[in-house]
Amino acid sequence: MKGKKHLGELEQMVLMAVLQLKDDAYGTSVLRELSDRGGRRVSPGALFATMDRLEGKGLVTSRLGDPTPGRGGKRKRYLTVTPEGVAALRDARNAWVRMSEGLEEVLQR
Amino acid sequence: MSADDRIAPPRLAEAFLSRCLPAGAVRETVLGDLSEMYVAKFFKSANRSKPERRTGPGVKHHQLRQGASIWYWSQVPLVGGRYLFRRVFHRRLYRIRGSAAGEHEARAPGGIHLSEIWGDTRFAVRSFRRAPGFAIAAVLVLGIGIGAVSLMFSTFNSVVLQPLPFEQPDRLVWVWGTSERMPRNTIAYPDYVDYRDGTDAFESLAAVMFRRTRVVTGGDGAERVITYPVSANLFTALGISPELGRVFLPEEEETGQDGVAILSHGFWERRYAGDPGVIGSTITLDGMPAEVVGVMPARFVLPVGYTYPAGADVWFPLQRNAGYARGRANNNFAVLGRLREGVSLGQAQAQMDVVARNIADSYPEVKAGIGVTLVPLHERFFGSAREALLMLAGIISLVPLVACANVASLFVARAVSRRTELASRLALGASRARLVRQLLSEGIVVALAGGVVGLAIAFAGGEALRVFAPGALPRLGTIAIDGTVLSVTLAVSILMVPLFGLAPAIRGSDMRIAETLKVGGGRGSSGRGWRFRSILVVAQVALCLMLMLASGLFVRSFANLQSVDPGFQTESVLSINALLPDFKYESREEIEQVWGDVHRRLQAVPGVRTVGFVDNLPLGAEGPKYYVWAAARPPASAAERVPATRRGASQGYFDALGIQLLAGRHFEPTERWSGPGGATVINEALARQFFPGEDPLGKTLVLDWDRPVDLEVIGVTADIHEVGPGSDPIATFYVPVRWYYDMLSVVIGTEGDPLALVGAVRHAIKQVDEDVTLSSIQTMQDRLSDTLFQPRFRSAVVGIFALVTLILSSIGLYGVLAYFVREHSHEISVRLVLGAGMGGVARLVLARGLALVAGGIIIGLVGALVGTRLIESVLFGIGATDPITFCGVSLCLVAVTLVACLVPTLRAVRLDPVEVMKAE
Repeated sequence: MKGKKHLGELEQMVLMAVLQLKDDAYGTSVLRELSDRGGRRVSPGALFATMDRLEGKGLVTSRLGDPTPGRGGKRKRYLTVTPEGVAALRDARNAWVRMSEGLEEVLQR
Repeated sequence: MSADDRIAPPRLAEAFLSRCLPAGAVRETVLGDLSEMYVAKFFKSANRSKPERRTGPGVKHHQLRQGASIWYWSQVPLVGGRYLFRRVFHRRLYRIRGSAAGEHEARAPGGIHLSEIWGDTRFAVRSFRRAPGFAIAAVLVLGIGIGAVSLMFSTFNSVVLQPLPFEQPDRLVWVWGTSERMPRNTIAYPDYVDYRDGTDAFESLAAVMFRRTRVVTGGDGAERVITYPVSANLFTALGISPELGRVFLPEEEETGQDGVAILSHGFWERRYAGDPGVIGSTITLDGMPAEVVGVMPARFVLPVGYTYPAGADVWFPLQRNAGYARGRANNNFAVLGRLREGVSLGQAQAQMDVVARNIADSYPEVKAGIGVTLVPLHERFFGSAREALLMLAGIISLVPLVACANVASLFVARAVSRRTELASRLALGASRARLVRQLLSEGIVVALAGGVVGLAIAFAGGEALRVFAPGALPRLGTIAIDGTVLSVTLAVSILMVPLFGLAPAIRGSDMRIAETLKVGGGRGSSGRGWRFRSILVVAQVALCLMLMLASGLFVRSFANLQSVDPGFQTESVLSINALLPDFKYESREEIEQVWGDVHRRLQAVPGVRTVGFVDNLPLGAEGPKYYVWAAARPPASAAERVPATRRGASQGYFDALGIQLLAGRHFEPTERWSGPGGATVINEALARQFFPGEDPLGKTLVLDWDRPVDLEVIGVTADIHEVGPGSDPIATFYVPVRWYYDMLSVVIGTEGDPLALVGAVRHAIKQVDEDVTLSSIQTMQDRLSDTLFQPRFRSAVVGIFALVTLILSSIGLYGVLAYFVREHSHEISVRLVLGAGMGGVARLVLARGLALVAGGIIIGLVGALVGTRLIESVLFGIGATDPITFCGVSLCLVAVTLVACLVPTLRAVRLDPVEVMKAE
């Protein structure tokens, strides 16, 4: 539905990656999670844009970590999924489940 | 400190990115993430690379870095572009606010208005679809400009910027021997040993002998191969390990243990079909067996010689006791080395200077005044290409400027013709900024499409260079459109948008709405559009004139070179390098007999006039130099000796080339090189220098061989341009050709077309011996034209671009005049009605056009007076501000632009006043 916060597929993947990573979700780790767990190769530019978009929609919040030596002394931007984010994700999942009902034979083969 | 800390993204790319990103936490976190990803990429490619490429600490470091760097550079447009785009188009960038607790929270109000940008882009594309002519013209013109930049950059990138394919190439240096006469010389073996043992600045200092051609026999038949004797440490110095087997051992430099060879990858695949069992087998070269101990990898190239890379098939350990390594006067070795970690070029130079002074002091008779110059190895091979390319790039950088001015003019015209549309949108509430943004997005669409055209042009240009000018630059074969070229092209395309788009966009959106709508899009306040477009035309003409002047100077300099009389016949002379399989012959007499047979057989070929032999063909290298002096005036000290070039030649050589004999006689056919008391023929330059004001015939010329040798001057010949038309004749003395040489050049004077005789000549030589190797079969005319390759290349490249800009500026001028006529059709009609006459109207239009051209020419001439000084060094026989060229080119420009003015002028005089008035 239009009024609700509709999630794009990449947005869903990023949200789930952030949830999976718990306290350690920031650009590089999310990218790695997407590729390791999700088998998705996402370009950094697309990821940054998605992160910004999610934050703009209020589905995640971010905070800055402490300077890390491994990355040229630059700080990380850690992401946390907001309750709205979890709700949006849940909606997306429910929609998926409803849409796939009765298609088990096709999908499970 | 972990290893990760030292691996950091390329600084320049990071700086670029940093500029694109909004300051503050966004910049910091994104850069941090990217640098972390860079490190990950780096190690990923490290793990992927083959195990043998990972031996030793830090091996291939730069190659791993290269892969990761290319990735990082590609992120500059991908990530940076995204943020930059947002920054330009959206003021409301999201900010990261600091909270009271010191914890930071990022918030992005509203996100990106992608839909709006998408809308602008779609609108732009739609509006171009309505005006395809405009869009195609703008894209093509921009494409030419971008293509010029892209082509220059991709060439520069491949030829100059790429590092040498060795481990830590910036530590490799080339050692030039210097003397008062020769600023760049090779080095004698004993000197090399002194340098190697007397300094500790080098990890290793290696030596390579001149290239030698040898013949492989056995197995698959005879084959001519290129070999180099090298010091055992050469491969270690370059940091390359063999693909198979091992490198040479130091003791293999001793005579008796030298029966070993290392093969190049290409030769190994060609002759041994890549069989790994070749290690330990025996290869027979010039009849001498050697054990194959190693095969070098395909990427190994030998960085010596005139060209880069030097082709090589087989390497041998050089022999410490061989004739070529003996004596301080035999400057036979190229020397290169690897600096120790942390040692600077200056420190190494200082150490080498000390050794050089010691050598000069210890052997004053041969080594007075010698020294060494260290240059980075990369500089040694690509320094001159860099100079040449930078000069070309400087000239060609005018092309994109012309293209920008041209397209800007198109955009102004378009904005003017869309006045009504734009005014309506303003009236309906669009802000002016919104309108500028819309016009700019049209610019971006055109620029990106132009970038694609530009890439195509760069690609085609690169291919053309490879096909038509393969020898113009080193490493030309490696020109490619890679990630760096793509990024630069994209950056140039985007950078051009403000150049050609900003001013038209701002002007186009600035209007008094009511006024524009009132006159119904007809004649409005167009004075400013005209003035702005006039400035653009003047700029185009000025830039175009500068390019044409550069081209004109190059062409005239080239013509000067071509018109130089080389002093010898070139038309009907064939030249061939012949190499006898000397291992087949027992004695010098036998070789001499073979040459005699070759001479007889060739002389018998129908159409052959004369046959001559020479040990070093003109129009190539200068040839060996020796110190000589007139016996009556020996030099006071070793430092005062003057060198001259020696050529061994038979009598037929002078006849075939038609070199005029001014006095005395030539060598008799029976005359042999006999050393002391032998005969010599000298050229005029040498006579002037060593026998000023006297008749040299019968005088004695002393040649500083191993010891002084007396030669009797029996003849004087006219000077010829031995090195090429661009260089003055050099003092030369001829001695009878030494018939026991296994390699001589044959010059054949023919009666008809020399190339028609190639088959017969080849056959005649092969009849003497099947195994004679023939190479470089060319007419002297072709050799002459080869020496003019660089000037011809320059003239062609600059000429093509000058022509393109001439066409562009003419079209620009045509456009602005046509516009003038259209805008002033009312005024012109009134004049016609009032009896101004066709002449008056034509004068009015032509005067406008010519005023613009004149303005452009004046500015262009001033610019050229300064600019052409940069190319002065490569001009021959013509000054950088040659008045004839300057006048001629300006007139030519006036003539062409006059044609561009004619059509609008004709349109003006043919205006029908009645129609014009009716249309109003």
